Amino acid sequence: MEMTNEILAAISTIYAYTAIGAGVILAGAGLGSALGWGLICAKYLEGIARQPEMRPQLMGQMLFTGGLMEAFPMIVLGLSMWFVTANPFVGAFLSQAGGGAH
Amino acid sequence: MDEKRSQATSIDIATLSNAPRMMMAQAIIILVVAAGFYGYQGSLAAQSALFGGSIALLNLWSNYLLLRKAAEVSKTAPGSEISFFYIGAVQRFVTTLGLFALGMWWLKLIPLVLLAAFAIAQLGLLFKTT
Repeated sequence: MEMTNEILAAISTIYAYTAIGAGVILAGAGLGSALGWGLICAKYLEGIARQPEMRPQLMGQMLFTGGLMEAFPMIVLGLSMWFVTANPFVGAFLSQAGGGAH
Repeated sequence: MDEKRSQATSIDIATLSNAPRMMMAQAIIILVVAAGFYGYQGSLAAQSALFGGSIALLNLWSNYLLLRKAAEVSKTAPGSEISFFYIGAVQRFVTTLGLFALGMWWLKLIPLVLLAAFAIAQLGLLFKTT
């Protein structure tokens, strides 16, 4: 398949929009993660204020729950890394464009 | 007074005893997911699923070790366990992203399967009793 200017322009557009999309999902992941940790820690402190003797149990539970919550931003980061560095949409576009050319 | 204070600040060992159960559940989930991908997409997908799930398992294991160490430290020096949590969070973050990069680009595994297995393996964290 010959790389015409139109195809190069289309690939550039795909990369640009993917970068914007990755930025948006990273922002969402950062916001969600911050809110999640904030809520977990707030409830933990509330729990201690209500029942100080429960602190050891609450601490362990909080950290395991935090671990679960932390996994989601990591998944989003992994997706963003994939989109930005090995853009799957460009491959899909090129296979479509190549298929259309024949 | 000191004993009372150390009890009030330490981490409950009973909570930590859930971790091996959660790791076992995660391992079973990973194997089931890998077997599913093997049947559906072949051996590369199964390898990707195993790799992604292992990252989740490694995270939980490191979290468990860190909590155990923090629980020990908090008995002698209450309050100092917080630094372990910060170090552990950074450690897990860097390790996870590094392993994602390793799997996706160096080992050339399937990114979507790797991430999906990592996400599904998190279900193992729901297997706790207390």
